[in-house]
Amino acid sequence: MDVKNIFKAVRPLSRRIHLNNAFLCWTYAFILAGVLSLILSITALFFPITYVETKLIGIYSGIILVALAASLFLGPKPQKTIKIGDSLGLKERLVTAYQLQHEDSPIAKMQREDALRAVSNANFKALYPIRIPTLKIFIGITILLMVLVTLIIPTGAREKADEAEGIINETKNQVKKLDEERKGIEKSSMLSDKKLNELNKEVDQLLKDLNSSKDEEDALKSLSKARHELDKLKNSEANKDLQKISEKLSGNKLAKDLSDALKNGDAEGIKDAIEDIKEKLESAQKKDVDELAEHFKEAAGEVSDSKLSEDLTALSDAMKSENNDSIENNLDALAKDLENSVENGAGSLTAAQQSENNSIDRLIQAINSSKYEISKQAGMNVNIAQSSGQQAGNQSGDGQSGVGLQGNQSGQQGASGQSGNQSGNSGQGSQSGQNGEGGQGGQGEQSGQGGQSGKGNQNGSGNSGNQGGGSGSGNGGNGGAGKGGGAGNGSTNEDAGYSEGGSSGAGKKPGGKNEEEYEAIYDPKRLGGNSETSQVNGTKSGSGQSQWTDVKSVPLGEGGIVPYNEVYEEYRDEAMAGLGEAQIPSGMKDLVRDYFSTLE
Amino acid sequence: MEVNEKDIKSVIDAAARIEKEVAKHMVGQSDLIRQVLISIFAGGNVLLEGVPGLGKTRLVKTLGKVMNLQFSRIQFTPDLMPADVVGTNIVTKSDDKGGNFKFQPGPIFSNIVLADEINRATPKTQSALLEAMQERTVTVGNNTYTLPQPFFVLATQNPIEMEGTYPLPEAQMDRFLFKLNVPFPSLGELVDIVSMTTSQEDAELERVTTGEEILSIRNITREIPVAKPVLEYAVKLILATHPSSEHAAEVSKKFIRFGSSPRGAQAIVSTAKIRAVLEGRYNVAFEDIKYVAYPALRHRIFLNFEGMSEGITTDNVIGQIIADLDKQ
Repeated sequence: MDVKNIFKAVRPLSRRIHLNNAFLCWTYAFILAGVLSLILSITALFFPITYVETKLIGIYSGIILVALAASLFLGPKPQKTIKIGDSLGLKERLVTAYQLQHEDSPIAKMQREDALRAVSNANFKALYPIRIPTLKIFIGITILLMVLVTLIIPTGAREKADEAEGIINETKNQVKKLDEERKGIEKSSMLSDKKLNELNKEVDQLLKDLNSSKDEEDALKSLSKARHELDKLKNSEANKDLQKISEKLSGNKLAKDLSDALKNGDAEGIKDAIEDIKEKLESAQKKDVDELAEHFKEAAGEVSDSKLSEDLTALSDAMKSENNDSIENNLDALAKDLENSVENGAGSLTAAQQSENNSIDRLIQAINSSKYEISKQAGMNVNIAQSSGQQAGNQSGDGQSGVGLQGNQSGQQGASGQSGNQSGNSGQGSQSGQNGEGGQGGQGEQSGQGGQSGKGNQNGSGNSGNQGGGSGSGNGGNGGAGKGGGAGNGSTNEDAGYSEGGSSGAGKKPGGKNEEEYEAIYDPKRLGGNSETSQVNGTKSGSGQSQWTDVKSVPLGEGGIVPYNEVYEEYRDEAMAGLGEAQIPSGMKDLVRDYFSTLE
Repeated sequence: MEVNEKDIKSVIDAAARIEKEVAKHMVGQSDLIRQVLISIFAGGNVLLEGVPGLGKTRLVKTLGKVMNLQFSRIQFTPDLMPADVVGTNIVTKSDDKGGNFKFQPGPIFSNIVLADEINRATPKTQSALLEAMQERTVTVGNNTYTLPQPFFVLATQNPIEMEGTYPLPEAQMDRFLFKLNVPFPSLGELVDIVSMTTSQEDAELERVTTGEEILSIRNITREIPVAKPVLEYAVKLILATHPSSEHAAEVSKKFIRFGSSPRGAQAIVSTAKIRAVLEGRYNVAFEDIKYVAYPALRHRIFLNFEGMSEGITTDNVIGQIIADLDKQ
């Protein structure tokens, strides 16, 4: 008589125990999921939590799945089955048989047989019924109902969460669109491998940032940053000649400032530097002048722009011939050419480069569109409208008349257009619209892009939704003019008036120096802090006159002059915190965001 | 000893025969009879406690007759001397050599000794039973005499007539395997008792077993296996009666002065085995332990003043300890 027969006979009981354990496990999991969900749903009443329903489903399904999986392993061990079996009236027959399983004495055999008889006669169905834990299930269902009720209670936090969900959804949507746009650009094969790699790198980073963005601020910031990077990429070819000249002149002490100005694309700096060279040449030694002439000549050989090359060669010859009048005239001509080159960087582009830029522009427009969509989702319509005008402004000056992206902006595009005009030095646009507001959109003239006005204008027109519409025209700084019509869309005006313009002749980067050197700025140790009080001691007497003036002392003692990169992050964080707390128009928020992303 | 199914059946059969014959003279008290039988099969002594007239003496006498064992009865009184129980050396005259000391065995030299109203004898006389009950021997002078086998002392005592009695000392109480409380008969049983005892004659009793069979039963039942959890349960039960033990039950800490001796555990396990066989099983169950725990422990647990003043009985304490153990 083998003890295995006993265990075989006990197997139905084992299955029943397993099933009961599983029921209990599932029920507890149901209750646990309910309790966690209730905590989450109640929390969501007071704090904005996105995708609460999805999370609740996740909690329920996750915990129940874990319980289902765990229940597979909840089969009772033999000892447990034995214990339960004995308690069901087998009167320790099983445990004794288990203990005597290796004994072969007559009493052990008899005991095993007795145990088997008892097990075989036992009706486990009646002795150990499958128990559905109804009370616990009822508790679980009650909790579930409470969760559902809390979900339908409208609160401010719930509304905020819904808004945030919309933004996140829109961001994801835009990620897809941008990715598709990128793929389209890749397919078109308009970009060189190098540029394509750089573009992919930027877009990958953008998509990564967007996917990890927690709110619209993050998303818009990422988009702005990406757009700036793409702008840089687009303009990288434009000033190649200037960079080459800068490199050649960098070693010359007479033309060091000019080299720096060319490197930074600082038109004013170029002008000043050339004036400086004129002064220096008057007192310079022959050797230095010859050296400078040689550098100019070398630079002339490097540049691709024939006009510039001619100017440089002529200047070099004039310097070698020591003809002061000729030198001065040639320097003036060079200054003018260089300024024009800075401002009209794109003008010197080849057809292939122009084509590359157009491809990048497509992506930039897609980014602008994404910004618009995300902003719109976030309820930042004002901002969008302003952006739209900027987009229109961006288009102007290229001489490419056409239709802007979507033309469905609200009618406040004019704001952006005005901003563009502030920095732009060429081109004007006008736009009219049904609502009047949209008509201003066409005034947008991006400073950097405006530099291309020599090739013509692209008219920007902003449509404010279906209501606003307009047209504009712009004049190029070099006399080029163009007309076109179109609907502007999507971009922001935040670039106007600050560093973006620096890439062209009109704009200025902060400080106008090499970024590596970082402009030094005054940094009070405590922002907005009071200065220290000072006291002047004196002796009071009956004679004499006293005079005093109240002045506001500057807390110079509390801070110091430091490179801006050391305080940049602190300032940015302060500003970003301020954006969230203060009542700031959303358009201005975008401006602040872009300002800091530009500094990065 | 190898036990077969026939042996087990013989035990059950013998018990059934004895119970059937005893029932001819005893009305009701089946549980009491079963417990006395268990104790006899285990080779232990029994202390029967009950008010007068409940049939304690009758039960013992009936058992003596049914089992075909030598029976003697000692009525304990305050003037009973130890020699009256165990026997004494007496001077005998012989024709040629003159006088000689010869041991004259007392009534204890019997298979079943009925020590009636044992608490009426002085402690000196009570203690004369100690050696006989534990060692199954009697020492008189320099000589030790072995008692006949099987040997049981079935003592009775009256719990209400305490005047002029000498409560049994703890050491002697511990020698009793069981202490059985003889319950008052129910209405129906009392009617039957009255009818039976007032009729002309008692029914004839048959001798249904022998001393050898009882010794054989004792050996057979010792072979019954006890699973480790069951054995541990019995031991925990004993430990739980000790108020200073780490396994002590709350009720023990509160009401018990001294817990059971290890003899209590031996008594529980050995009698539980017999009970299991009589129930037709080949193993000891928890319920066997619980069944024999009351008679095996109730005279081995000594309540403290608080327990006695609150009217707690040892059975209450044992019941509570078992309940606590079952919860674990």
